[in-house]
Amino acid sequence: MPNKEPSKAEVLRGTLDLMVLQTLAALGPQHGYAIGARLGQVSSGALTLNMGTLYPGLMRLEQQGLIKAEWGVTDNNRQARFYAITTAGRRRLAADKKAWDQMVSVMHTLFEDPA
Amino acid sequence: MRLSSLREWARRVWGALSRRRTDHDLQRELAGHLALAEDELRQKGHAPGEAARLARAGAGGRIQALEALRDQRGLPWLDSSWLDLKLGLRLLVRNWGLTLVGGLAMTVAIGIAAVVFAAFDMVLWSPLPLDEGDRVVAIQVWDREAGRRRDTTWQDLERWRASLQTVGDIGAFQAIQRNVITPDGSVELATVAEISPAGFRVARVSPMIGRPIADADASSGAAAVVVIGHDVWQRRFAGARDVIGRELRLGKNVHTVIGVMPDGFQFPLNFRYWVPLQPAAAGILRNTGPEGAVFGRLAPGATLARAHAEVSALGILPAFSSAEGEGTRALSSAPREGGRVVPYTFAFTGDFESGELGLLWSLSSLLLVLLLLPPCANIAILNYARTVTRQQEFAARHALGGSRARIVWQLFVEALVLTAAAAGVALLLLRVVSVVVEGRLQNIPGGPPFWMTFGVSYRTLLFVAVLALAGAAMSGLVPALQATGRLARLGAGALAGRTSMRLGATWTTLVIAQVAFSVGVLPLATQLAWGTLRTGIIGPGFAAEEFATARVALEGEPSVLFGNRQRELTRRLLADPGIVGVAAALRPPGEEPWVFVDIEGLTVPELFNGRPPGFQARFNQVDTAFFDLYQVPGIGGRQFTEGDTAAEGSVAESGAVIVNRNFAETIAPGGNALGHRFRYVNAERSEWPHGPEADRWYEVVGVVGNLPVTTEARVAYHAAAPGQIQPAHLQLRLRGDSTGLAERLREVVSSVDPTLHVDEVRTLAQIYREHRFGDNLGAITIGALTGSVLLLSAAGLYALMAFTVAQRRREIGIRSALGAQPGHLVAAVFRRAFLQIGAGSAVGLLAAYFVGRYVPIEQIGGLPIPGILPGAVVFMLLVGVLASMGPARRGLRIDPTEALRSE
Repeated sequence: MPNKEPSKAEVLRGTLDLMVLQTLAALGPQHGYAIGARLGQVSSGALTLNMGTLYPGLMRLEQQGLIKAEWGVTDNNRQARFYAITTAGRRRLAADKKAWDQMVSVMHTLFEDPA
Repeated sequence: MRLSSLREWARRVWGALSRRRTDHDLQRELAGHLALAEDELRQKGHAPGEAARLARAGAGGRIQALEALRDQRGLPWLDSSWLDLKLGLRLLVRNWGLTLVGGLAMTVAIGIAAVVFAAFDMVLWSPLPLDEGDRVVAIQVWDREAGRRRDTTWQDLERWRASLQTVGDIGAFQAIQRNVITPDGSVELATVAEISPAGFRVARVSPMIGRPIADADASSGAAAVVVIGHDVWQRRFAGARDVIGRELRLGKNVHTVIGVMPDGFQFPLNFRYWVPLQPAAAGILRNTGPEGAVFGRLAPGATLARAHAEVSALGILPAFSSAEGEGTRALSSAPREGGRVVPYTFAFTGDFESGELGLLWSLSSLLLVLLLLPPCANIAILNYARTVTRQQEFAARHALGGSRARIVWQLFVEALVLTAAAAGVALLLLRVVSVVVEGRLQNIPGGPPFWMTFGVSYRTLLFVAVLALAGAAMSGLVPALQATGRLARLGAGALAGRTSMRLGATWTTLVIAQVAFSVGVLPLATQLAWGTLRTGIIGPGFAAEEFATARVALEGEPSVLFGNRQRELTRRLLADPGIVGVAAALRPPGEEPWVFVDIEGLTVPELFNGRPPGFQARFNQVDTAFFDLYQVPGIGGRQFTEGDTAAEGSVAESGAVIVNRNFAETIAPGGNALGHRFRYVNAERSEWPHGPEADRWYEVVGVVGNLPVTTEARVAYHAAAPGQIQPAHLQLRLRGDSTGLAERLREVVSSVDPTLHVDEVRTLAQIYREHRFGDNLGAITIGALTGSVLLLSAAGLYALMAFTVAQRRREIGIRSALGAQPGHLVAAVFRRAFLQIGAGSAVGLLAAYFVGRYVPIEQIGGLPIPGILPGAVVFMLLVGVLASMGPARRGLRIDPTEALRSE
């Protein structure tokens, strides 16, 4: 598809997985809406995920065995699918976090030291 | 690739196939999402309607989200291919004509290719079912110049045993024939393995009872012992546990049973009796296949290449050359001969260099794929015609964003449905053939080697799958590419129904090629099929069930004793009330060996592959009673007399020959053949030790009628005295039926001499049935192939003609509106059809002429059918007329105003 801006999904593909895993690791099992709301909240509204980005991403993580899901009931009595991080997901999170930290440090140095 | 990615793909495949998360489940989750968003907005004070609207705006399109989820759930292309598959199946059912014709032709082509491949597979790739069977090897003497395997001297065997580091447990076997005689007098001729003690070590199989043959058993002067197979133990000893030490008579020697091998053990080939191979200091060991071989097992760590290098380096002793063409063995330095090591099973495949066989296999596989070309080309035409009628559908899809690749893929999958179905039926056919062949193989005396099983191996399955794919590519892809090539240019025009597809020069050429092929090949194939099937249909032409033949030989080397035995046997058989007459011949009628003869003063006509070395003929050696027994009338000259047969045991014989009517006609058409001379060319003396000599002139002294079974062949008969042919085929004329004949014969034969063998007891009717099995199979194959190609050609031609005429409907309509005579219009339609068929017929007739001139139809088993060539042309014309008629009539019925309006 020429002359088209990269979609949000493409931009996020690398980081969305990490964000979802981190959210689930920090907050415990959450449904899709809560995950999206949490990401919107921590980004002060900069990151609003529509369903077409969020749910295929969740399905991909589930297919990779990094998260698992089961149907449950929310506080206000709605049916929702709850996602939880798996052991493999925690391992992946740790590894990706480390790589991310390294990358941030490299970028930081690069930007801070223009010479 | 990460493990998790692998897992993702596995789940996506699973998701595509299983639909574990249904659409309903996905929708439920999305609806839940919207409901939660709405709840939250309401809590923040939004009115319910407002909250719903904001929630939807924030969450994005639900349909798009569902689509994205579906794509992630499975594999999008797998899903769409599944749709294509279903569509393909529906089309198969709807266009049942194409399905039937195309499917049949495809099944025949794939079936034949699969059977041939499976046969190759059986011979070449059946593994040796022994412990580390792939490390068992054969050591051979290879004549590089002649490209043949040679026999081995005992000394070379001893040298290999003593010095080879890379091959251990070296031994040899020789197949011998022995009468197995039980105390109650029943006789059975069995093939016995004389085998080195190493044979049991190589096979790594121990007897279930007793012991194997030991080194001491093979020393000279040792007591005669035998190891028997499981079924012999069951059949002859009723499975008695105390069988060890019991006696079994093989020919003139009584052997002591020392071991019983487990069920299924038949190493080194297909044996049930094993006796020690005695050293023969000056002996020659047969080492060219089923009759005998030298074997061994690769030493630990050794490879075939290293073993081969070691054996080559060792060379073979300047030995007794067994070169053909010489009666005596001459001492030669034989630098052209050397040792070679090959996988054990390879030793039984023929005279091939080790690389040749693989090449041969690859080439034949390729040729087998080419077998698909004729049906595929025809199906491609039919597919193309169909594709063109679907032009609007494709244009619409293209306009909606479907890429050309996507549409081509769909057409490929549709074609694949047909070829896959054909492949499935072909595999079923292969299964049937394999059952029949297995049954036949078991009836062959000796049977095939124990490791060869004719069946459907994974290689065959793979090959058939490749054939199905190749067939789909040829019959689906090509027309798809051509039909969709103009899509982009057609654009909206196609959508509006104004397709401007034309059949270009390619398709005109195809019509001409179709017709040419049918006219050129059809007559040849029909004549071939008729030639082979005729005997089966009209019978051998005489009371074949009244005649029987049996092969008789004396144990061991040919001996002068045989003459006396044969005379005595004849005397006793004639005393049997069930037997009217006895004669002897080298071969029974219809099984005489083929040879080439050079007839004095005649030149052989040239054939497509050059000039053959001579006229093809068959020869037989017969005694003086032979012609009387078969009641063959003498036509000219004289019969054989005692003077025509040489002294017993002597190689020399008189030069007098009696020929059949066919032979005489070749020598002097309509005239007198007596006194004319001929000689044999390329006669393999080694194969017929007492047969006619090469390059010696023989004189025709008599002419007899054609035997009913050899009406097509030229046959030359030589006189033979009792004992001169060994083994001899006794020819018996029976009174009454042949029930119990084999048993009676064996009893009479063993009462004359226990070392006299008799086997292959068959009535002539049985022989012809056996021949017919192979012939019929061949003829049916040819018939099926030709029939299916013809059917397809006719269908292809029909489709093309119908299509071209349909294309001109508008033109016809307009011309008719402008006042053209209907007759002229019809003539215009037919003119084009006849031009194409005429051109095709001309090419085909030319091809048929050359085929007829250079392919000896009678010599390859065909029978000329008068008028078949014009018949083929008329047939194709008929197809063309039928194909043009319908569309032409439809064209004439077009309302001229309609035709004009659509322009």
